[in-house]
Amino acid sequence: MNFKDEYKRDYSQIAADEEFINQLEKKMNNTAPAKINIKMITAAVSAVAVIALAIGAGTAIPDEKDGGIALKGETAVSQTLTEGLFDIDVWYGHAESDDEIYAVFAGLISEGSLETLYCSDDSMFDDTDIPDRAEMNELAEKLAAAVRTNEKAIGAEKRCMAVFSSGEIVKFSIWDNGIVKLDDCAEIYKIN
Amino acid sequence: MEKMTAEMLLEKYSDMVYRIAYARTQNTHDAQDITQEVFLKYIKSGKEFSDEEHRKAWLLRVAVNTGNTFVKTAWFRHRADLDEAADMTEAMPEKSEVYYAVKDLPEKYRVIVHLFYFEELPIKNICNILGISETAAKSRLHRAREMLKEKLKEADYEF
Repeated sequence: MNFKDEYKRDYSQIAADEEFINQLEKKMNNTAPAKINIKMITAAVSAVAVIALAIGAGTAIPDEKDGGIALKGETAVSQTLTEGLFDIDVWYGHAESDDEIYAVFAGLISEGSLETLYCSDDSMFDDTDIPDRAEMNELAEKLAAAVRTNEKAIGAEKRCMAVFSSGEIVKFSIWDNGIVKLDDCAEIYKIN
Repeated sequence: MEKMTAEMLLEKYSDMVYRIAYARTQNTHDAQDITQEVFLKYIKSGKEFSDEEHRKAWLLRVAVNTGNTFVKTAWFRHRADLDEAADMTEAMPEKSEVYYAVKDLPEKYRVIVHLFYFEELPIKNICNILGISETAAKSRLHRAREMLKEKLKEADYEF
């Protein structure tokens, strides 16, 4: 007799109850993904802003091939229409420079609102990518104290995602030599 | 890769997740709780997968991890004592001695037996799903087989 055949025959009879699956399907359809892709939202909002600009100004969008000069006074029109057109809700609020953005990140960590930190070799995160609490606290402390640097990233890149109790999600990379780069910043920082 | 609707996902993977949860907990209600949590985590994660194998491995890994967390709870340990006899085996038509032999194994051995014999996964995938080394996975499977051979020695099963 073959063990595998018998085991498969027995376990094939075990299946999730149909009513339970129907209920679960409803719950899944009512559950939204937790992660919000800020870049996509920003891109979509930018696209809408460009369309609004074109329609609202009643002019053609500047064409770089024509030196970007379609109508006189166009620059002024652009500024008026884009400023305050949409209030983009991003985790770093109204911070503008990279240092300000990093300071918001460090502040969120320092105030103790970091709920979970994921670190993975790729950009896919799940429960297996959560370091233990002591390791997480140590890294959080270092991240909060990171300083801007001109050094280059060396070694393997780890992708990380910080989830804060407010629901904010910040994604960043850490390299072997302690270089940190937030996805929302161009500047790089270093942890000790 | 094409995104799956909840219906498609459940159609394809609900039994797989439910069975691994059941192999772990030996209890219908707990297996349902774990299954629900796994699929809600899937939706919340918004994950994208490069291929179906990747999606399957992710679901199995999260099912194992969710089961790990679940069985550690005091509530589960208390419930497990009370409900030991009240699992769904009574609703199943007919079970072989193999079923009961596996059921009697300690839980960590039941899970690896299920992944190897039912899901037919190679050891290198199993160790990733369980988060253990290849050596540890081989050793655990070997130990499980030894225990099963002892329990089933009169029937002389081929493993």
